[in-house]
Amino acid sequence: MKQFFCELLFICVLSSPAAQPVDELTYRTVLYEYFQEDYQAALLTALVAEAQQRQGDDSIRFDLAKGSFAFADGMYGYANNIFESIAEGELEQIDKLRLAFHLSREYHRRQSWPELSTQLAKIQLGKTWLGRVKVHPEVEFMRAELAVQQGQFEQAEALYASMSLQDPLRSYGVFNMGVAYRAGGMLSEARSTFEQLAQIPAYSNEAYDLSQRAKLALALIARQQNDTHQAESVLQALPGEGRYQDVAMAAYGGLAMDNQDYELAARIWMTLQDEEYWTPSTATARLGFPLSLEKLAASSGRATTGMALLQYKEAEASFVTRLGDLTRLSSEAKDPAWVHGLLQVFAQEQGDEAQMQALMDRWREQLGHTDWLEWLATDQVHQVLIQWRTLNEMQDWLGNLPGHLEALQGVAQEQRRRGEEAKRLLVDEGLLEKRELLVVQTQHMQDLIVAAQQAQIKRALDWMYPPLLKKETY
Amino acid sequence: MTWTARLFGVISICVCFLAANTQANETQGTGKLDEEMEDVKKALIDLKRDLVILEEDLLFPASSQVSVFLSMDVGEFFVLDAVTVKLNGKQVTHYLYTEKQVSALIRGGVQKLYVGNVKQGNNRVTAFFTGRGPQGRDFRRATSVDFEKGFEPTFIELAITDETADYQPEFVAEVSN
Repeated sequence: MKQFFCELLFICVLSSPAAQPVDELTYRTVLYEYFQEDYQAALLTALVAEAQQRQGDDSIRFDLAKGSFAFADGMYGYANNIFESIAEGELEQIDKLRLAFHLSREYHRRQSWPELSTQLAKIQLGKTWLGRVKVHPEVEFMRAELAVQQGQFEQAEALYASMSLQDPLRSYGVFNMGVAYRAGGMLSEARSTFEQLAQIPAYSNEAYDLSQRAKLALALIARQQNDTHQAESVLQALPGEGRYQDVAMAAYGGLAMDNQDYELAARIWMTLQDEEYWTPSTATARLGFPLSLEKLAASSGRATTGMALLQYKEAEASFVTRLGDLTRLSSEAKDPAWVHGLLQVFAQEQGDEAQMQALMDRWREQLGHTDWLEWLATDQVHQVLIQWRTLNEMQDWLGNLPGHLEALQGVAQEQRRRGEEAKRLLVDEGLLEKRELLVVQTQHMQDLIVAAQQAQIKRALDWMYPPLLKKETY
Repeated sequence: MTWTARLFGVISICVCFLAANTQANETQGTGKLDEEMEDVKKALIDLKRDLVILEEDLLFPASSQVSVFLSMDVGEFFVLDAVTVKLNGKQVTHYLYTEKQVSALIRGGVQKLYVGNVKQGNNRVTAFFTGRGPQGRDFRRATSVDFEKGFEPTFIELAITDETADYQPEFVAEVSN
């Protein structure tokens, strides 16, 4: 899909003939990098071409390409500046479409809904020869997301219905719509949305993951609606293993509590609280276990209040320990040396597995396995680590730059020396005068050669005359 | 059901929902840091651009510069493996292609294969293409072009095209203007 617009953006080049002008070659060189997904190299080549004024007559396509590369490389602000600097009057219809598409993507990313609405309104792909309105999945997705934000759920549903069932964007969009329905208190609509999503075949890992999430959400809504039977049947159908196993178990435990099946609840909470890692689910289990024992003691006498109290105390102790760990971690995270050490793990170049493992082990000892993973799993930390890695690469490049510049300076000095030497030869040795003299001499020689050649032709002709004729001539 | 159990029920639903129902589109950036990062990236890429131009000016002055480009159209009758370029009989580059690179060429990209220096006057570029031709057979062809080097940079395009008339690939070398 992303491909589609890239193809659309650069389609014009494919029909070009073999013998191409230099600016066409330059443009397509930029595309070569882009097609290999080396966006930074593509942007660099485009910037070099621009500085060398090799964009040719169609500088707009260069600007659009530049904006696309910057966008793909994560430089959203720069991309946006480029796109916005293109005067609308200079754009062809197709360029306007491309521009509106890129800006829409940017506004969607920023969740700037009014601006997204303006840009999406500009995207009209026309009709096919059969008279059907042309659609683009990503555009439809953005339109539907906008409709959800504006509370126009019917429109959003119609837009999602026009997308392919196997389009990953559709699944994400439908899931988000379910979340929006629930947030708006429209539980029945949310339920039917998640039901619809849960039925999509798992054609990819992503789709499978989303369908599991949808099933879980469905169970939670059913529980919220006091439909325990439905909630139970959905939870029972979920696989025992998987990414959302702990959330499913916590939901199942909560459901057992709702049903006053405290024995089942106690078993679930006990299993879940024994997990080494801390998540909202395992924390709930630590609290749920003594509560279920308390209820069990009160209802059936199969447990004692003393047992419940003991478990409450254990839960309290584990929460206190956890709080201590987090406090220590939070104070350590304020220490630049500690953070620097941690980030060194990610500054390691890929490939040196042993060193990486040693660093990971060292930090795992300090942080603890679960904290480490939890912390890493957060989106913001992931972003920061990627940026940290990029910065390290930049630092390496800049570190090598002085040596590189020194080498270039050496070349420049040598060129200057040769230039001065050449100048000295020209002046001191009178090379210019000698050259002029040589030119005159060469010209004279050439004249002589031409004269000699013409003379030879005369002689050759004479020689070819018959003897009788020769006699007559002489 | 006591109030503690009810409260616990509400808490457990909320916890589960929060864990399961985070928006699928999780692309919130880190705001200011993103912007700062972008500024650094932009400054660095500008620096790289200046360096590339400086290098080109120093190492390949216009009066001696020659650049060789490779383009490919369609690619049905020829799957490119490698290209060797000779300049005035001397090998100056040999390039092996990955699948991704070949795909980039077929999609319309042009590779800047070589940039170097030549003497002014008459020169010759010869390119040898190795790969798989029609029916998957090993295929090796050469093409060359003579050119007169002047004071401006010279650009030479090596083009691989499909000749539909005889179902054979065609290799052309031309000087671009």
